[in-house]
Amino acid sequence: MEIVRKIAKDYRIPLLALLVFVFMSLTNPYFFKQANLFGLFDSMPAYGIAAVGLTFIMLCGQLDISMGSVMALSSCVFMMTLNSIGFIPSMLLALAIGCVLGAVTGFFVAFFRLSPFIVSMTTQIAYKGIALTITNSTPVVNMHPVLVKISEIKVFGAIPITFFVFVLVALLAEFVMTKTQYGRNLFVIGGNINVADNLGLNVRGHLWSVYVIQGFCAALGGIVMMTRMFSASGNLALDGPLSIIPMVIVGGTAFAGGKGGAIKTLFGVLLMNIIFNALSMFNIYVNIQQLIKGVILLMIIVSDKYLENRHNKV
Amino acid sequence: MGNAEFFEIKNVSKTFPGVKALDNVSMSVAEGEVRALVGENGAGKSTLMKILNGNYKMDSGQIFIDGKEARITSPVKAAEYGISIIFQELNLVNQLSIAENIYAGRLKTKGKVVDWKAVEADAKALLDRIGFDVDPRTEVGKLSIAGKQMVEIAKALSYKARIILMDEPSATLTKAELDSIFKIIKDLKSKGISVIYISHRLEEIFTICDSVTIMRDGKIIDTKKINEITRDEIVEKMVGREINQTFPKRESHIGEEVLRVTGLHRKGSKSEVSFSLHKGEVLGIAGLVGAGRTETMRALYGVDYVTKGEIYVKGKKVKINSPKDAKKAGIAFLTEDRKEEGLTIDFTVKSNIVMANMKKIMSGIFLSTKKENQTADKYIKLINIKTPSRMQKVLNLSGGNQQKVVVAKWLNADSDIIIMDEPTRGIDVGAKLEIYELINKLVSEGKSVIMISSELPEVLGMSDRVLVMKDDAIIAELTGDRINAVEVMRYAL
Repeated sequence: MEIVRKIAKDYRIPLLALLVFVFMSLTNPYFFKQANLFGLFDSMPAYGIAAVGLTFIMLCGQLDISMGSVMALSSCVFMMTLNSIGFIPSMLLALAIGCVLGAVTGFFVAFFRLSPFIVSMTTQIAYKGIALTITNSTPVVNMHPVLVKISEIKVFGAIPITFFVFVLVALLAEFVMTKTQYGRNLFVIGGNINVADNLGLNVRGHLWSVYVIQGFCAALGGIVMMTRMFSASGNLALDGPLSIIPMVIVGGTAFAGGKGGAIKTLFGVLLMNIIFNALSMFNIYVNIQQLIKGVILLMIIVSDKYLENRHNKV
Repeated sequence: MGNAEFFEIKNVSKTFPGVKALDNVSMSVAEGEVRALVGENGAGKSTLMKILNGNYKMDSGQIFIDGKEARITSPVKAAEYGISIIFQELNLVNQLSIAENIYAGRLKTKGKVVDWKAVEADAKALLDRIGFDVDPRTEVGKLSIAGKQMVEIAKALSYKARIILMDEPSATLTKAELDSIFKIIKDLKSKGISVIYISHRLEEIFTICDSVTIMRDGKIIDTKKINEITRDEIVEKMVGREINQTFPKRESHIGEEVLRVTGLHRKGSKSEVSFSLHKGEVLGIAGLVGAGRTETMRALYGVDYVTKGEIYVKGKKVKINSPKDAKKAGIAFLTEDRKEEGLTIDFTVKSNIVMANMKKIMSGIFLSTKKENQTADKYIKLINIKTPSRMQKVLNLSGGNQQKVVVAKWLNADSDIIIMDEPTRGIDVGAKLEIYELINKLVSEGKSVIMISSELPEVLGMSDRVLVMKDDAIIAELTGDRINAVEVMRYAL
């Protein structure tokens, strides 16, 4: 019984995801169809990878809302240079740009200790401005053969290869977070920044670095997004922050920092996407779907907080 | 004891704008000595600690460890020199495990990968060394304050600390917890580690320390072997004047019953409580920490959930489900944590006083600055709040005066029943006296006071009647001659 309770407590998010998945497979004839499953797994990697990046930042008790614009700008550059310099070079270029954009945001957060919300809000506007300028406000469409090829690779007949890229990124991130001194330092910084200062940790350096990681992840997410959209624009991923932040929180990374992990985020992404996919199975008007999404999100977060704190009540 | 001048501070001075915080301070501590450091708030203890920890830079002076000069420029350097400081606001990350807290920032690695097994084994060995039997993987947030202090001690040992400074470790500990901390201190002593023990509670100093250094106004006043000085002498040197009477006398005029609580049961409590309070009375609540004193008052005040019981205020039955109800019934609650719960620390004295009763300062639908000022000035004068002006931020007042602001706030809210939870915690001897005088003034004006205090002399000296609590129950009611330490401890222990 004790073990059951422990499992229910520690793995409630993945269990809930599995539950919804099995329930939908059993009750809805269209859910467990190849086309739907492909769509489901295809919808996750882009924002999922960015969410893993954000997890690093939130572990430190910081925030970033510029990742949507970072995705837009880096994928615009990627799509524009793809034909002239080739797939790998333009991918590296886009990733490098992502790192630089993250570094700019992180610089102001880490060295001036400005509010990350305000800093990333302004950089988000600036990055989007750059993207719209270089693309002349028109979408950059590119059906590059490598992109098309990647989009066609399926594992087990229904899972796009990009999903495994996402899983790989999450596993790698989890390893860094749990098994390296660097990763553990992030927890100390997010948990109690005074302790970190007293330990003589390079708090600025760490804070800066997580924004670079986030920039990298957002750019990678942007590239992954291109494997199904084949079109980039300055307005890409406009809903990025508002979709990605909830995924991280639902996964179980604390908004205040010091608690969480990349695997948690992985399951947060899975759960949210499965629920949203399930919602689209029912014939519900799309605006009402938004409302239901909001309510479900609130319910998950509230009940999760309750479960966390239940034993702490007086 | 080994080397008598093992740890030496020489002519250390530090000036802040307008204040000479440390004035040519010199002291030395022997190897394995437990030294008490006492002084009123503002005497310079915290500044000295922060210099030793490398948070502040001293203006002049030197620090020696084992005859070698230590240049402490950062907390990391302090640790390298073998100085560990256990601050009151503990330096721990609640979300992380005990093991990780001990070794944060310097986890053992195999290659580049953290070797958790080794980290946990090392932590376990340290915890065993101080006799703290706990799984090193336990989250620190789940530990009691005493447990956290033990983790801090283990952490200090992990840095091979040779001198440990403890800042008021006992402030929030129960007796049993304190005993285990004392046991560890004795153990440290036997291993040749020196301890500087800072505390306001003089009784403890006589239990655990070898010697005592008294500070006042940034200077060292005296250092004595503990058996060569009495409690009164220490207090005298701390305040720089003789205090014959710690508790000001008052003429009690006890009137009719203003509060009656019958069979009050709080959720999770092991027992029900019944008691009454009269006009002009100071009712002391004694008992050990954890006896349910604060919790009972929180329930009465509507913070903690009440499952059953009745409350009568001035003969009328009232329902108190929230602090709002309590306030309406004329009950005020001064929490022990005044900075967190009682005051808006960034606001002015004026705003803090008037905020609990806006109705009084309204003129029609608008706030009247004139009424605001009048109200604030009235209370500043009435209870003698020492502030340069009503526009001073509460943050800049001393602890005693902050406490007075809280009292003023509640008086302005027309409270007749004032519950004070540890009203003198963390404030210095002189300010304590003023709080006592304030309590006397309150009851002489017909208010009634319930005072919870862990400082027994305070309860004994101030109360007209004392209730002793143990395990959530009121087990004794003492009046007259029976209000003495022996009686109280007989029931409380």
